[in-house]
Amino acid sequence: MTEAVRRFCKEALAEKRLDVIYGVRDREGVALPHFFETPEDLDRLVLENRHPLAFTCRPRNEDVLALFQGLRSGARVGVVARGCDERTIFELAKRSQVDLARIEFIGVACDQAQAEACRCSRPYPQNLRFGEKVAGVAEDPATSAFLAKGLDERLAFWRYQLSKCIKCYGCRNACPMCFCETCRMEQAMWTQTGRVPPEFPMFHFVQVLHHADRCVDCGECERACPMDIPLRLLKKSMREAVREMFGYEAGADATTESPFARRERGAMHHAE
Amino acid sequence: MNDEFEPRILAFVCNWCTGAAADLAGVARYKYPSNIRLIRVMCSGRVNPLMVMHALGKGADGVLIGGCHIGDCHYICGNHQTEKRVPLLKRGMELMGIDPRRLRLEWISAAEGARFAEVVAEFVTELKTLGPNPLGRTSHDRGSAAFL
Repeated sequence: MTEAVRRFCKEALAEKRLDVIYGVRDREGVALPHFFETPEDLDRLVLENRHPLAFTCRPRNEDVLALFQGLRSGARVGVVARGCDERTIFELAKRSQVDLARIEFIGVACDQAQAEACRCSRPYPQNLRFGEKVAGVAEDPATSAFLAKGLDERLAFWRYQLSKCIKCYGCRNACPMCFCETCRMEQAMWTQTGRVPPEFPMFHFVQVLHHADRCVDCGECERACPMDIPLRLLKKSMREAVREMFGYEAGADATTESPFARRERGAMHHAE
Repeated sequence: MNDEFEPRILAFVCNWCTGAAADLAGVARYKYPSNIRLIRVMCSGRVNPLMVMHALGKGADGVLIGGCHIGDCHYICGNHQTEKRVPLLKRGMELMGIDPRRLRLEWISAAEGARFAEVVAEFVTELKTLGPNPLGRTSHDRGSAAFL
């Protein structure tokens, strides 16, 4: 499949249909995001299950998002996108971070093994071009086990888990949806600065709330965490809560706006 | 002195409705428990959910958000936002293991001074059954529970 994707991208570049391809390049065994500008370059394009997602947040001006926005005006960008990459780009576009009109998705489906490794519920993009759709992982045992706990147990669980935090900000930096210029996790107004472990539960709660309607469930936060804090439990559950309450799923399509970005009442008052 | 647990409640009340209702309750001499501290905001839609969590993290036993009835918002749709955020915030609290009943959202108009007194009394009773906020007792935050 990798060969087919490479061939497709090379043709697109040669025909000048696309000006640049954005994907993952293999650099001595490490997969990194890369802008491919020449057909020869594309020989190093890989389809890697585990790789840093399309966009990272810091340092600003050097991150991929900034590069993306700074690409010469009118440049058409092909993005080799898996399900999570596509969801990310959809959400970023809704928040005016990227221009969808300039992007062409080169959708690649993940296989069953990859989907399971990622605990991904939708391991394929909408603009699917390569590979076969496989059903995602419907139920995440870790999340169900957590949700079976009572309030006291949950509190004790997070007290322990979050006390492991060394405040590396890895979860935030790895998150493709974290693009705020000033982050509340760094502001003394919200959480005491210069303290490890950080204030419980405020420090992590910033993410819980802020990502509820934008988390695309890529799992990068958890993967980035050096202390193995199961952050995805929180994110996944909040994502599910938003789906349940407002019928909104981040990244499910390119146009539906988040319920929190709209003025009208939520679907909530119908439900209650 | 009796040792009964007295909950401390932080309330965010909107300037136009619930804030005025609180004033009215005072002027009309309605009695309600003194466990509450008000912070007047211009609109309930101004209440960032993080502010609620901040209060709970610092040891408040309960947080009350008071706004205008739906349709009466001075800013037309500020309380629509509140209406959407609060249930989500409650979910978040539940996930973290904090009883969502510690947060209460009430629509109280400027004419409902009696209702304001009633809500506060109800909330105090409810919080007494819930007991002290677990975050307030063992939070490793220095200076916790000192905000009231």
